[in-house]
Amino acid sequence: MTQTAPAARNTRIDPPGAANAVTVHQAPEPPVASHWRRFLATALALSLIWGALTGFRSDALIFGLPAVLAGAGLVFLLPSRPGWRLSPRGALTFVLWFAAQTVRGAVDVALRAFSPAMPLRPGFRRYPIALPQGAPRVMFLNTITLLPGTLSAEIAGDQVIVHMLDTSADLNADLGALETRIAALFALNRPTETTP
Amino acid sequence: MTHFLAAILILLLVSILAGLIRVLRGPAPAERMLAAQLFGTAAVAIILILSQLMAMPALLDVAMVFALLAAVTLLAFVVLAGRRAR
Amino acid sequence: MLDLIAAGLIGFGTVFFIAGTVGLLRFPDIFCRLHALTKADGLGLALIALGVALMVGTWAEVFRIALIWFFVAVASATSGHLIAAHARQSMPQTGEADD
Repeated sequence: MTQTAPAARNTRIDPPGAANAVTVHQAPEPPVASHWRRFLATALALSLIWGALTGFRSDALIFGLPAVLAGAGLVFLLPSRPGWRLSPRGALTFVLWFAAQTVRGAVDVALRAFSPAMPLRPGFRRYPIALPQGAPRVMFLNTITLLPGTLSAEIAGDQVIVHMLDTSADLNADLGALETRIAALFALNRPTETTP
Repeated sequence: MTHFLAAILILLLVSILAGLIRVLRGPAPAERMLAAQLFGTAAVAIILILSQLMAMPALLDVAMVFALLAAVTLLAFVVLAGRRAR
Repeated sequence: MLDLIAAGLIGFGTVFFIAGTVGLLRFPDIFCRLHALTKADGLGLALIALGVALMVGTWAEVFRIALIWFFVAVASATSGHLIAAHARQSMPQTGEADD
């Protein structure tokens, strides 16, 4: 399951009809160019954060510029091909879906807390993670906790032990939906073969 | 609006104070850290409202520090407690 | 009008904070309590941050509030997982309760 980054890139199949389907036919760019592109993107994001924190004061750049360059320079220490990229379309649907799930999860737990009967059937379940190592998996583990009724409690190899408020809920369906959307967010093809 | 925000502040403070009951009861040290988690979130909410109530945008920086420190506190607890257990 | 929406968001956010604390006190074990804190308080803060963002004057402040919310949201999900993992390791009897 530990896919190496280039393998993940080669096996990627964009969803049919996606606006970015052209990228499949593109020759992979040399790692140097990709490094500099990510350096620029990171530097841009960091400058934006720095600017917001300091109110875009130019004299604050004495500290800000070195900090931004040092932070963005860290991309040269990272592997050149992370094996994923963000899909704008996937990101948009993910954010909307995830916001709705977060509200559902909070309302669900609030109703259980306020209810005099306090309907809980807590317990642990194992779920095999199909997403590759790295950012997609970290994203998955962190977002499980905000989904209704689930909490990522422990990682055991390629499995996550999930604590559920109500063990009669369909864990595989809920987490499967989450994995599909995270795969779309990172423009990965959905690794279906390892999911029950 | 000022009165409303003041009332909200009191409610949030009460909810933190009530959370302290969990610190007193425990029983496990990790349960007490739950109150730190509550405080990390609720304190940021309180300071956000306070920055508006007192018209002090600088308080946003305080909220930022709280947001970052709460994470460090919990991380330190988990690492140190894990090391002690071993 | 904007103030009214902001007040509504902040009011709802506070309800979720109270729910989180009620869950922290009422729920039977540490894992259920973590559910209450991470989910209810997370939405509570999001609503309050949104409400305050509607009231502030400048976009820089709005962006800063969004940044604060983002840090808290990421930190609370991760630390929720860390506390749960720690609790499982220090209480080895909590295995998979398959019923």
